[in-house]
Amino acid sequence: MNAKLRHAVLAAVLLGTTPAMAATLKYGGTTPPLTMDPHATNDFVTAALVRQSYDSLVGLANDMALEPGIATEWTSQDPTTWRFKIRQGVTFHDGSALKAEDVAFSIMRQKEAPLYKALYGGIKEAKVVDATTVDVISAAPDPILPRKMVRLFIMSQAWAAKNGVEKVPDLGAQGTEAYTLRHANGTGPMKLVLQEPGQKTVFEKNAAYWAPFKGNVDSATYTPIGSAPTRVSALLSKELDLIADLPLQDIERVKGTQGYTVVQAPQQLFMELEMDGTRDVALDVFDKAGQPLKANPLKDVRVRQAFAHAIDAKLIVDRVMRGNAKVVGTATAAGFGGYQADLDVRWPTDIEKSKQLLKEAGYPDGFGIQLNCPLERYINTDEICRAVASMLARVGVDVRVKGSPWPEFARMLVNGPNSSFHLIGAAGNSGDTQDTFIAVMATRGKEPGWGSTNWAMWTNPEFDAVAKELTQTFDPAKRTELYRKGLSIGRDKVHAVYLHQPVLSWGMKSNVIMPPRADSAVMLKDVVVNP
Amino acid sequence: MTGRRFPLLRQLAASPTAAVAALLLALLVAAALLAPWLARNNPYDLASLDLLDSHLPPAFLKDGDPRFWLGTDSQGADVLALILYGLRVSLMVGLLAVTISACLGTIAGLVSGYLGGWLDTIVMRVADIQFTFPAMLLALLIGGVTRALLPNELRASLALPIVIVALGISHWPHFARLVRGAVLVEKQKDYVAAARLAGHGRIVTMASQILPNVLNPIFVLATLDIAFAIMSEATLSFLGFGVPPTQPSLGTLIKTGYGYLFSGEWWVVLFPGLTLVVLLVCVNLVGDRVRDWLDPKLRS
Amino acid sequence: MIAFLLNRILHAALVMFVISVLAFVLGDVIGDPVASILGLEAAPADRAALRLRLHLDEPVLVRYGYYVGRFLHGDLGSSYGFQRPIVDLLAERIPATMELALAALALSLAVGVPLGVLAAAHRRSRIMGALMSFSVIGVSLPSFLVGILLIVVFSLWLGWLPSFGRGETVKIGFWTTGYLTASGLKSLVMPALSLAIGQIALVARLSRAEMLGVLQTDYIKFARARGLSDRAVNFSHALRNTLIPIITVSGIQLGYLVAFAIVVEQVFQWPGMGLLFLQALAQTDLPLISAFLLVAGLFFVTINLIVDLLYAAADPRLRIKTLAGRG
Repeated sequence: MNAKLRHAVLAAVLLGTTPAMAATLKYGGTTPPLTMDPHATNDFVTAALVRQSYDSLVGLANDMALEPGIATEWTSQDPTTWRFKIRQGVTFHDGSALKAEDVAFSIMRQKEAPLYKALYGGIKEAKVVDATTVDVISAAPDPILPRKMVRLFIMSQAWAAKNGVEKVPDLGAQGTEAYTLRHANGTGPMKLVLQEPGQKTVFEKNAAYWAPFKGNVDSATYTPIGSAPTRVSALLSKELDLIADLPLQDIERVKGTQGYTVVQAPQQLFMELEMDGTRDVALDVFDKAGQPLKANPLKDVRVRQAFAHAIDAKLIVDRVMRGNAKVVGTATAAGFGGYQADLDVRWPTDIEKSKQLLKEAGYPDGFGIQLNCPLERYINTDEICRAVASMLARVGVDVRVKGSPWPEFARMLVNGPNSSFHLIGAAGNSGDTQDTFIAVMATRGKEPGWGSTNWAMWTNPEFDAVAKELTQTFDPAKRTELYRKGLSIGRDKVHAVYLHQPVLSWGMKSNVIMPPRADSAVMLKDVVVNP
Repeated sequence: MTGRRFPLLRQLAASPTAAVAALLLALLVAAALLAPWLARNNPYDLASLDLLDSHLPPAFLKDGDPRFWLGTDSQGADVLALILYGLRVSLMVGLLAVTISACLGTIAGLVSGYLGGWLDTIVMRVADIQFTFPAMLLALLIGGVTRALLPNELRASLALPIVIVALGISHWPHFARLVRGAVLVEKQKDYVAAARLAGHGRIVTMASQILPNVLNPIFVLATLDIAFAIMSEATLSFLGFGVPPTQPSLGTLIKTGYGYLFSGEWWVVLFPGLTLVVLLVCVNLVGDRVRDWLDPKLRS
Repeated sequence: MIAFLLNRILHAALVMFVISVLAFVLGDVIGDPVASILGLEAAPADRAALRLRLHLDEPVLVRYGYYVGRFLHGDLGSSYGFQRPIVDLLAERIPATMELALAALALSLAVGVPLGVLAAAHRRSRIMGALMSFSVIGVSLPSFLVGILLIVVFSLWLGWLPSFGRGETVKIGFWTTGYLTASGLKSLVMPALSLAIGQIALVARLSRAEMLGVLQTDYIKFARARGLSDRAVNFSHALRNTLIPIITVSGIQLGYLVAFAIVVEQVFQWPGMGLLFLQALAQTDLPLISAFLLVAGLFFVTINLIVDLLYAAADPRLRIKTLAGRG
């Protein structure tokens, strides 16, 4: 039995079906890929499409566990050096063989991209040790570097040099189009056939791929459809086989329609309400008469606790999210590295206690505050904010919801941050709670890279000490201890009012079988289309 | 008797369709005016909403709640209340926008037609440039760009005035041309010369003598324009560049409701959509009649 | 005639100049495109470097210089949102919008003119009268509602027609056409119909009015007196004289169709100029908004110029009047 046949039979056994005929998949999502350059943007839709054509250094299994990718194994040589063994016999789509130099080149190329500074900024050097070994040396100890490498995509150095894209091209600044915008040359399971920016992306199977295919898709077309109802109607009228980002309100309808199913996976992200932890006079807070309040009530932990007890995250999940989300009680979520299930218990909803706490903090009648709300990017944010406003109204806090489209909202945070109370999705870049600790919760600017997305400027010295120790600890048991300490401080001091972890939903025809992934990618190599 | 004293009523009575339209329109306007008393709750007041009431179908369907005749939306707001308040916003935007274009256009037309000279040239050139663009596109450009230019904190609070002004600005040249033409005719007449001889200044003559004589055509155009303004507002709001969801107009309701069309919650889009169509048909029918009444020359 | 031509062309040039200044001011006045390009996590130094490269910190006049210079080289700059040259984006999108608008125009003429002519010829018929009263509904239907309705009926219930996009397209030079493939034509039906429905009513009303006017003329009375059949009189003699004003109006209507296509493109996710423009507005993609203003201005100025000239060619009296009117 030759290897190929064995793989085919193995796949068939695994799936419990007979080997299906090669099939075509037409699928759709919200936004088009911004580029086909795997290093130029950290947009997750783009990353999901790029992952079809480019392998990452460390593989990311469908359950978000690490698996061998281009690197077959990785070991920590010393606190600042990780050694990666490079898989042999891998070829790029143009037929050239993958070399250790390509890996080192890709690491350095992606590390220089502005959007990956937070993730890879700590890398000093990628050194080719021999033909099968690459050492990655970072400036400081980095216990979660392999986890971060699931976002590092391997590109051919010779191809990049030939086409003048050795450096990540500037976005939008030049008058010409970068070669990598429409072209790709990776080692991934699907070859890029056609990329028509904003219109469609076409892939075909890479027959020379180094791993077996679990699915039977040999060609696929991705179509971006921004308008959600249009996307749903495209599925229900059978123009598409599968759509991503099925709106919450349509889940039951699609499920209930003969010939369709819905697949869900928790998103690698949790929603939270962040509250100003630094300013002495908060932005946009008012007394009950509507006059600006010369104070920051949110700095008082009792007010933060009052908010946490007044906002019923369960009701928001049931009604606004229609059950398609999971209430979270700590600054992490199931599926994240470092998640602690037994700690994940949310503050109970208790209006009386909330009122009592406000009274103790000196606001027996409450106060007024503006809630900044991003209108896009996360699921049903506008409705979440309005629900929060009506819940806080019950304890006397008048909330004025101000919604902004994402670019505006982002600008407000980046140029400031100019918000004392807002809704946002928090996530570790790599899916490890350590990232959340450092980027979202650690005191802003205390150490390089700390608090880069700590937009409400929460600060707690005790927490900072835990976070610092975590970044230098390699021992798993010790790390677990530190994760627990950090998460508990965040919950007790109400770092933010944690709401829920949204669920991603895909709608598809019943004959399509797709393993759901928390990073929202539809891995074409694993998709089965039955006749 | 009534016919002679109220020629508009006679006009309407002459056509049963128009009469029905006028009646419906009167009802819609009354409903909009009385919204705060008719509606179950104020959908703008978030504290009055209860998430537990969300996603309810209309009262006449299975699972419907008798409190909510036309069902509720995802926040638990009464769809009927939303429509009543939305109707208010739509009518208000329409009327104010037309008032702005009529005022701007009348002043520009009077000045340009009566004073003439370089003022006339400038006003008419500006009008020409504006005529180059279809009014809807212009309103979208003005509205969209102004929003983009505004600092974030002003955007939400100014959204409604921006839409009104954008629509108002987009249509003033029609009034300007009309008034200018009428003024050029009136200017030649004896009474104007008499007023001038009596020692009235040019401004006074313009306001007291000429203006009253060109009011009829202004009124006709304004009536016909209301439908345009309401439709444009709905369109802008549907595209997301009009009235914000915090204070929804009918167009905004349709935009938000459209997202629920396939989920089975059709009532959040169907009822606002029907209301908008009925409103527009009535305004158009009545507008045609008003035109026939005030401007017999235009009768076909 | 030459004086008239010059007058109109000068006028068009003036309008274009004003539009270009507006477009520049628009592209210049605001914006922190840097945050949208670099995202939330970029370092301040990177942001400053990008500002420098985009010339965002230089004086207004210098930037105006860059703007005009680039424009004269046929370079409209790059879109922040799409990270591509705007000229390329427009070249891809213009055919889609033009094909949609032309199809809607053809549809509105093909249905509207015969309807209007019949209504005029049988002006005492009750059915025609009722039909014309219904035209007010056509005028009152917002195109986005028509679009939604069509999608529900023909895509969801019946499954006959695709609900989004252009279908398969064929590339002829830089022009992509959907007219040559079955799926392209199928995709065109609903968007074109939503766009045309208001126009059909307008064209029908106009044709009826024009036709009624023509039927009163001696020329027609004479034709009837010669014993020609009603049909021949209506459709050959009278219609011919009705067509000129209708065609002129159609020209202007093409402009309106292109403008209203924005709405229809949003509903059907039709990859044309309108969808592009809405995305640009939503992302505050200033170079793209300003380029759109310029291109749309050029388009409408050209249409107006052509219509003016056609009109004048058809009616010499008007030529003189227009000239005199403009002094």
